[in-house]
Amino acid sequence: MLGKTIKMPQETVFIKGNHAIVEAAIDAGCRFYAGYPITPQNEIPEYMSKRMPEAGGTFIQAESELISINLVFGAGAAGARAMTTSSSPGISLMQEGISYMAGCEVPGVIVNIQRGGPGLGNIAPSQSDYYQAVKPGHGDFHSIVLAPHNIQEMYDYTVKAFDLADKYRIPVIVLSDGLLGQLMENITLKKDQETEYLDMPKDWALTGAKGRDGQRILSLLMRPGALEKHNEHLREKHRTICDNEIQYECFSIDDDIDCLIVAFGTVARISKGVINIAKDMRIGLFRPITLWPFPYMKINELSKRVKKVFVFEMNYGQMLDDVKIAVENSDKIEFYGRTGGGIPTQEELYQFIKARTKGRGY
Amino acid sequence: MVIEKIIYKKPESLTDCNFTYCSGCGHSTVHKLIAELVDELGIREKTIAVAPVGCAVFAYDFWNFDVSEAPHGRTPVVATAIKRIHPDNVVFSYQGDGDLVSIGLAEIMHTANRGENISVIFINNTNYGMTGGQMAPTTLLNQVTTTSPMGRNSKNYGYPIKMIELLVSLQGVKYLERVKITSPASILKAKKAIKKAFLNQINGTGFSMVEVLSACPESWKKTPREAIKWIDEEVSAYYPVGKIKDIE
Amino acid sequence: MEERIIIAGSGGQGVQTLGFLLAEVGMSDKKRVTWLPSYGAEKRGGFSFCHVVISDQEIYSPYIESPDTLLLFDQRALNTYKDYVLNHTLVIENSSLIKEDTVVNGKKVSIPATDIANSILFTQAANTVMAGAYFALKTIFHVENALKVMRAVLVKKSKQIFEKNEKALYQGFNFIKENYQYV
Repeated sequence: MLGKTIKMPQETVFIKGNHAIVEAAIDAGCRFYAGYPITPQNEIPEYMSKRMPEAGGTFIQAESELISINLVFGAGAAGARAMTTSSSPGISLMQEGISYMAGCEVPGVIVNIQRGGPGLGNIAPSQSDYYQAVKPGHGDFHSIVLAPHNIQEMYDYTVKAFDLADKYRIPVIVLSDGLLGQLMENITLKKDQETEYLDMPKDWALTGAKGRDGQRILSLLMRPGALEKHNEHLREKHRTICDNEIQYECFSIDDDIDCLIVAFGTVARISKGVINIAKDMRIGLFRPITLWPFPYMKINELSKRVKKVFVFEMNYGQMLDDVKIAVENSDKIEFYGRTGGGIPTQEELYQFIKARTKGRGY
Repeated sequence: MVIEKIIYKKPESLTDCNFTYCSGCGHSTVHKLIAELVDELGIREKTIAVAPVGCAVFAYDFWNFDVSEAPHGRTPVVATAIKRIHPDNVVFSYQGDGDLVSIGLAEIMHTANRGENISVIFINNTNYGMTGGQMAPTTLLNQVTTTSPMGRNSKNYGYPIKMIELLVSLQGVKYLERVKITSPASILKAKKAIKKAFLNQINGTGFSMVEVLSACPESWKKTPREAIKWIDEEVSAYYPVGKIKDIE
Repeated sequence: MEERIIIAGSGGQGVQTLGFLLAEVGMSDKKRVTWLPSYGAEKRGGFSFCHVVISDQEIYSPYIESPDTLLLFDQRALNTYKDYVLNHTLVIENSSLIKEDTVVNGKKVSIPATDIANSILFTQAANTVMAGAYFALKTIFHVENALKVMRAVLVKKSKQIFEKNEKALYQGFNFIKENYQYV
């Protein structure tokens, strides 16, 4: 089969992004998966239907994304590590369930292999679900959002997603795109690595009331003041996550840079190529890996040292909003985005930087 | 000397919380039947229920075993996942007609079709009780609700759905029975049916559902007594009680 | 060293398989490799392309806008990618299915890959003929490596199919050696 993983020496494999997600989930101890077909993530349920039974877990081909996410909700409520995957329109359907998971504090992992929108859009890569990942569904809540930019990270951050979900009892979204889902690249698997929170006791989970009173998984809090109190608790949790879990990469950032690119995922990867060809300019890349919690402070600090901040995205400026919050002088910010499945090229971004800096790079 | 003998007590599977349902509402009766059965079968420490969105969303206040909420209509889906993770537990969904027949129609059909080994208790009171008595897919023709003020007519609103008859052809479905709770005798019959749904799950038989024709006097603008009479005369005329499917 | 290759043609011509073969050959040489297939609703007969990058270092963009090599299987592929050709780009075109002599900037090599494949009674091996041509022109890889990779994959399936592909690979390789000595 074309695209089949090829094993290499030293635990390295040549693997497709979508397959790396599956291996990561299995290695992280996920034993429950539900998914519904949608391009460009179909390799995940297909491969999972083989791998999950091999690992002794449960695979369910859900009959809709509503069913997928609620199966994950139920499995999470029962104490299992559970995952679903989809692409943009399917994630829209899951927003209700994600909000319930956040409200009920049920952990779970949701992978979004983004495609172009709105509506049915197309099946090409896109980053236009930044808003719905980072500023999600109804109610006061956040999901942790992780944005890998290569296949190694598709694997590593899917493993990490399960730990974060259990540690904080929170839904975690791996926000990827069609390019990374379809791309094959050589990576290193960490088969025997124990994940930190795999054996964390889940005394809140529903297992049957053995030797105790019945307990509940719920988000409906009708008594006056009860919901506000619960949401305060969620806010405290969110603050703890912001204090402890922000992740980013600084690429080619030194004291001499004139301008800073802020980009995530696929576009960050292309931006590294831009820096590689822009030998005549002093450019650094700041790549947020956690899109929520967002590294506002670090961007604020770096933005003071440069003359220009370029924000590049495969959308019409969604992360741009957060960069604007971070950067005090927003006149410094220049945005370039492609939408509808368009992938910006290195040359295109390089020319944009040149044009906006009178060819000087600052 | 007087010898005191306990002849009746509150089931252990009920909490000390008083039922908050309206007088004459069927939920209190069915909640209690379930609690009694869970006690009798000795499965309190193994039972996990999933409550619907609707009046019975508060079921977790009254049952002293594990209970999860679920988004509206996704109740059997959440139950499915819990059962798959804990196959030795007894898992049931408790759903009203808005939850099961309207917004959750796809979910119940596919859960049934997959033959999930869970029990479903379906409370049919022919309207949306919690939100103020709007029309449900199960509302009878000519029945007045807050969204069918002239009475339901088939031209604009279609016909009431007979859920059990809809499910009967699915091969994954092993047991379907419709009951009512309008008299001590019919309540005992209902209990027997629910017991069978639980035993089917314990024995691994497969998907079982009991539909309970249940009173909603408040929305029906009837006294509890009138409501029961209406079930006996009108509701059960359209939704015939009895065992519809039973595959051992 | 970084080699950026775009392969294009129609679904069923073996475009993706050829890309995968080149990726595997790169890996057998301990290089970093990315293989990005086109994906979508179109299957046989639809437009098909893939981007392969083989490098000594971290690969930044796996999406190619300035190819070092273009392997084009038919007229539609050429029409789509002719504007991508830079001065340093090597274009290998399947002249069995590209009849228009389109002028391009880079170095262009024509090989009747489909005809050669037909001559050995194995029309599906046009992509392997193209691979042979590629290895004759790009000396960063050895054609023997390609053979080794092909043997590992194909012998398990069918010895006969492997042998036909081996023949196709060398026919492509030798065609270039005989007709394009200057390269």
